[in-house]
Amino acid sequence: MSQSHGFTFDTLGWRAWLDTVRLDGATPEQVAVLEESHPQAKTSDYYLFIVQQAEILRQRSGVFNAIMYAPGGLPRAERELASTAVSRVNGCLYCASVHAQRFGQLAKRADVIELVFEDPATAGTTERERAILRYAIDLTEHPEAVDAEVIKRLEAHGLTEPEILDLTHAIAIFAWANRLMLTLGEPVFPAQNG
Amino acid sequence: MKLLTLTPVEARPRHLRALEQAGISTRGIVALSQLIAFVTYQLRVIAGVKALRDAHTPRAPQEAA
Repeated sequence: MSQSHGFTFDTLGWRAWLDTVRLDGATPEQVAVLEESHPQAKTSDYYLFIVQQAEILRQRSGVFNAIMYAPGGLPRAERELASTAVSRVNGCLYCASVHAQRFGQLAKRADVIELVFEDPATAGTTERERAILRYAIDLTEHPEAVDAEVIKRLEAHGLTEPEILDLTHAIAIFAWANRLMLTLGEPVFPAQNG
Repeated sequence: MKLLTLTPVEARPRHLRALEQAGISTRGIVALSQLIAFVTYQLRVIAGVKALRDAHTPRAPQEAA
């Protein structure tokens, strides 16, 4: 089974703890922001909840989509690897499952994700992956301790300055994403969907 | 705020109910959550960018403050 410490590649649901916006009662602005945020946003409890503040969601989605999907820079699979590791460290089962799947789709393998689920501190199938994961953990747990030495370790494993900038954003945006998912609702496991 | 910043994994529905009981609307709770979570993002971007700068430019003494 591809499951470890509760973390899984399975598709999980998510439900909000407070009232979501009903699509048939949404304002035109809310509908527009949902449509530009995510292809499935109109059927997602998460988006239907945070669209209560449509302008904040619009700003957030712009940042999130640029960081995770913009062409060039750090390979997208490595952004997903970092996102999955941050979600593992922060304990966000839902986020980890989503981004584990995305890594698998992009990289056509899941070995490193299984290692991340088991123990992010020792995970990685290459030196470059281990350097990325170490930075993801350091910036997540101790941002105040990230210094020039940390950057030089990444560069020693082949990461360029633009790639480190992209990686920094991919890690940081999951400080934000994990906190919303963890504090506004909870994951729904397939068996509970009934 | 401390819960959301430092130990979000421990959040439970009762924490949101406490905000409601204090008179904060659902929209207010979304705004508050986004603001706090945004700052945890912002802080990490700044930490990374500052470290990148320090790795590539010798730090001037007056910048230490």
